[in-house]
Amino acid sequence: MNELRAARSLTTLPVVTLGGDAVAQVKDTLFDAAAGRVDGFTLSGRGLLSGPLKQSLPWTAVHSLGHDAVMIVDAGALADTPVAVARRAVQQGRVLHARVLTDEGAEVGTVLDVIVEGGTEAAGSWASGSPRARRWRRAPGGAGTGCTCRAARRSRSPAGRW
Amino acid sequence: MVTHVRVRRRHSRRESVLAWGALHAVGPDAVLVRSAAAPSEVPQHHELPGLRILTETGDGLGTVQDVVFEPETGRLEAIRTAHGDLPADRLLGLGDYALVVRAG
Repeated sequence: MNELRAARSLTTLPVVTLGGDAVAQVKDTLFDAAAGRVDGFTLSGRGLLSGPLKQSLPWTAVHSLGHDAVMIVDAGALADTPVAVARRAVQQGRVLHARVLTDEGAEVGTVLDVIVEGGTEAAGSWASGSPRARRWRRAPGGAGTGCTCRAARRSRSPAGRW
Repeated sequence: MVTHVRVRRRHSRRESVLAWGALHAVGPDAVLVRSAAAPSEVPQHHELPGLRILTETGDGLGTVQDVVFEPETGRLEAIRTAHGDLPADRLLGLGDYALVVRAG
């Protein structure tokens, strides 16, 4: 069964090869805002004093996103990304704290976190306005597939249509 | 596959290894060694007991508690964990972070 994970909880997850070596840890999750998918992960080195890595992990190279580790086939799966490209990607895909509006303009709230579907053949997508998002928001922990956005509802906002 | 056994002299802290082929017999109380066998330096290895176990899907299965092996050949039979035994044919990789096993 594929597990739903909050993108924030993926941070510091170790990136482990099938050979059992930990090569990095997850620093941030990159989203492709236009396609509504997880693009990949930026990485940092393991250990207290290690900073961000120049390499990133594209979603296509992820063997499996598990509860305790992100599995990759080997260290060759990591892609070299120029820092500028990675930074631009992070800014374009900035989802946390983004405002959520209905198509009629009513404000629903701000994005608190993004739910990513784990497993070996996960889609890794997210959708802020799908009916599934509403269902998940009302029943956290309930069964469901796909990948949704968790939004904080402003207390005085009008009851907008999701 | 078991390749070496680590030995230590009584009242000594220094460890050395004996190749598995130098062993004559492995019994419940003692290991018999051919007298010509000389201990050598400890080769590079991973400490198996206490190592964390991950499935290839990235889920933790606890840590290695013990290893079951065939005394005649030194072939691994199973890995003993807190959640039960893992047969040796499920092993995928052994690295510095974890022992990776096929999801069963």
